[in-house]
Amino acid sequence: MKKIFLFIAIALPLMMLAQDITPIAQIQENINQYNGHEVTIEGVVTIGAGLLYDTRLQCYLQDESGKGIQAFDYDITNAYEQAFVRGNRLQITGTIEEYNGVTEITDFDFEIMSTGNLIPMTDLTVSEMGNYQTWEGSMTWFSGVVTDSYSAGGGLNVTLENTSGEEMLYRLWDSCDVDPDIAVGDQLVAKGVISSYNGSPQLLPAYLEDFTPFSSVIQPNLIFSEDDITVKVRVEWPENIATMELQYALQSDMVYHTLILAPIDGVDRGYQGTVPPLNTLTDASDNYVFRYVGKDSAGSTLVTGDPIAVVVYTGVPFIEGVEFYSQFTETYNFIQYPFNDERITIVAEVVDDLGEISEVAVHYGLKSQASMDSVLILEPDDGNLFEGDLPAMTDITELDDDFVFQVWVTDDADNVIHSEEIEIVVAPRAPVVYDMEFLNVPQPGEDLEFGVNIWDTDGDLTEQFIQYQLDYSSDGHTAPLVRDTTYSDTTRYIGVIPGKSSGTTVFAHVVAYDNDGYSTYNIPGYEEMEVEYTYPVFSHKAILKVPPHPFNPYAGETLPIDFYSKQGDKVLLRIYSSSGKLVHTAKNFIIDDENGINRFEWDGKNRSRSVLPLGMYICHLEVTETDTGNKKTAKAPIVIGAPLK
Amino acid sequence: MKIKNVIGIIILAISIMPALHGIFDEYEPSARARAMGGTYTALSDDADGIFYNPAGLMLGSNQVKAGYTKVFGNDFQVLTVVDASWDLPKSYGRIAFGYTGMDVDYQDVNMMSEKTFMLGHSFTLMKDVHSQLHVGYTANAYHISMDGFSNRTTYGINLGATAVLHTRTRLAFAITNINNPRVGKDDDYELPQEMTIGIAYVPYTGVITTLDVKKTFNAPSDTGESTTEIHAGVEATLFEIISLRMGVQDDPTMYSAGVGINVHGAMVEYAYQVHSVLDDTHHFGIGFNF
Repeated sequence: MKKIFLFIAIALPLMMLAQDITPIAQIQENINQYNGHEVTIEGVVTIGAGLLYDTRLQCYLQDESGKGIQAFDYDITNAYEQAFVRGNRLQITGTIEEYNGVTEITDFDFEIMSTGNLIPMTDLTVSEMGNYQTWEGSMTWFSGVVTDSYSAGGGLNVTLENTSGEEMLYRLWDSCDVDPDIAVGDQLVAKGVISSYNGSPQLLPAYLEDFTPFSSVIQPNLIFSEDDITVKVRVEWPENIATMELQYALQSDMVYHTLILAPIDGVDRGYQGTVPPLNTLTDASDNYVFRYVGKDSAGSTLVTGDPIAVVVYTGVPFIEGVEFYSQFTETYNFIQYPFNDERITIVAEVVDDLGEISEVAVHYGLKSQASMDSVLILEPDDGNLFEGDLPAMTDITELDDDFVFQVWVTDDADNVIHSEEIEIVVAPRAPVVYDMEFLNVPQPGEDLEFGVNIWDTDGDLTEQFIQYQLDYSSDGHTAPLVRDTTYSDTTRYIGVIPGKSSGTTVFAHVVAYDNDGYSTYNIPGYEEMEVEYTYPVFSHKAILKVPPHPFNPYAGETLPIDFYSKQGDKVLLRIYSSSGKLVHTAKNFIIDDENGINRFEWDGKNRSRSVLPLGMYICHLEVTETDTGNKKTAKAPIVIGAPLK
Repeated sequence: MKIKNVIGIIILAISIMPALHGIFDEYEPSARARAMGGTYTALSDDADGIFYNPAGLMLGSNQVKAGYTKVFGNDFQVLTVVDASWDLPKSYGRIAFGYTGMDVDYQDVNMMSEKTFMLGHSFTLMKDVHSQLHVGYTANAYHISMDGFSNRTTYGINLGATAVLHTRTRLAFAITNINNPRVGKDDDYELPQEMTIGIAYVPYTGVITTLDVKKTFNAPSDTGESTTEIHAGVEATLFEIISLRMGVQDDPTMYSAGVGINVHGAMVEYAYQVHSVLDDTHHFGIGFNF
């Protein structure tokens, strides 16, 4: 009998570990048993590569068991970036490890099983989310009102409170590069993976779509005008949706047609449907615009999604991309533009899914002549790539000029398409500036050390110096640059900018002249090469910086508002109309940055998320020292503008 | 019954419409009006009246005035005002001219400049022993320039009416920009269209109490901004040459006070206004009665 028990005790775990696919829930609920063992799992990526961490792989997958797990590696490879994409279903074989309460699969091999899958979602109560040790790694969602929103430690912390008074923290890392435009008082429903911070649960969103009620998949990935288009959508909220519609329109007329979506078996709040091929609506080349509409049982609209642009291709070839380079720009990638005595190689990637390419030609000319009379036939190179060389500018003209060209493609069915006009800026052999950087991190009042490489590719430098500005002042200052004799590299120069007070931002660039009379200014785009440094703020101050120019939020522009005070000070950043009405409370938080440096990008919208009318507004900063209650204020004008003529 | 319905609709419209506009906002061009909480619709009895209710010009005299203020103490928000009113011969009423200029200068950049030129006329429509009815109108030229966005001139028309009942009570209303002027490359942006109803009452000689209810008609409907603006003020003439003024208003809540000195027709006015967060406003004005 003992032998039987012994056999069961040994064999059962081994049998469990030996099965092909292990449900993630089984791993999570028996972590002590799986820790250190190799398993194979299969799940859909909920958070992809490079979002939660720039340089390490920290992705999440979730399977039908309702639980998720982190895939971890110390590097992010190209293969990871292509595979660990939200919606991809992966099969992974690797070792289970538990690190600081997080269950990980490491040292793994993987295979992409399918793409474009619905994102798995687990419905949890707040108390269940609170048991993050159990649900860590699982994708869930939470609905509530934003009670607090502030930046801290490389990310945005957003606190939501639901109607029961229960709170949940969202942590959106800056590395996700997502701006969900959240303000205190907003009603928000958002998705995220359960994690923990300081013993409390938090949700990790990573995509802009995590802040909308819809997650959808539109297939096929490449849509032609004769294709049926399959749409799957999952709506997280509100709960009383009875009918889901997909409304689709041609981009050219924006007249919406309605498609009632059918529930997907086995997928809670999942719906699907098929949009007819675009060529059944029009013969012309066009694109679709989709939007989702959720309605209640009475037919009233409960929620409408943002329009989604769906590109539809016709059966003609299309140009995937066009690149150009010269010998120098290829060899030295810091050189932005080809020199005028270099041949320029043009590479076009051309695809024709229904036929074969018969010719790829480049029609080119000089920008000053506004014509493209010359023709260069590109030769097939590799796969879909076609390549050819333009002559050097100096072989065509002695004048300073630039190239313009178009790529024309003809296929075996005599379909002809062409690219947009592309401009190649051609530069004279003026001094080249690169590796421009500040060499130290000075405290307020200390000198700012500056280093740069300057190289004249056909001669010698005759003069070089730093040109810098302070904050938004138009006054220019200069500082000399001298050869850095500690380097054998003769192109290395150093200089010193005198120390500035705390909160001052230094914008610096380099001016150099060569023995041909060319300056760095002769290189187009040089003016954009600029480095900046802001002196840290360690004392209680109210420093507010706003660009002294109108901005146009109606054209999608945003305005950077910089505000500084010492770490730990409470900040209240508000915007008033010119007649003194409060229109937006932009920030209300305690400064977490150790240098006291903060920035808010204002989109010109008020607390109701509407773009404000043209005119002047008053940006008001109030900084309170939390220890003493001392307050300091600063203010600056903001002008919302738009073209008047 | 119909009159009640009309009044009801007006009150409802005023109470539900949000009040936010950007360019050519309410900058309170008159120091006297600012001191009285911005209540000037029913008062409006000097050259400054051209900015509030041109009908009130008939209650004033031949006059030239000028004003200067940094709104909310902002160095970058300077408002200058010049206006004058003059009797026309016979019974043709009174004409007036008004100018306001607001420049936003910051870091040596003129970010924005607004200039308004107004030409007004008022006349008496009816007059008997107990009451008077005055009406007025102005033609306005608005010029705006924005750094990097060029400039534009557009034109608007204001209307106003003032009824004086038994000398102690004045009822008035004023409507701005009834022709819906616009600016922008494609005329995308409307200038504020505002309606103000005001009442002024003289409880005893030397004291005037005023109340204005103000709303903008064409503010974006989804701004979610605020509600009806209510302004109230009082002016007490202590001696023939000195008047003290006070006022309050909501949205934004502000308190104000001021003094006016009038010696042999020469006037000096000062207003002080307090905002809950922004800095205080000091407003100066001078003028002369002919």
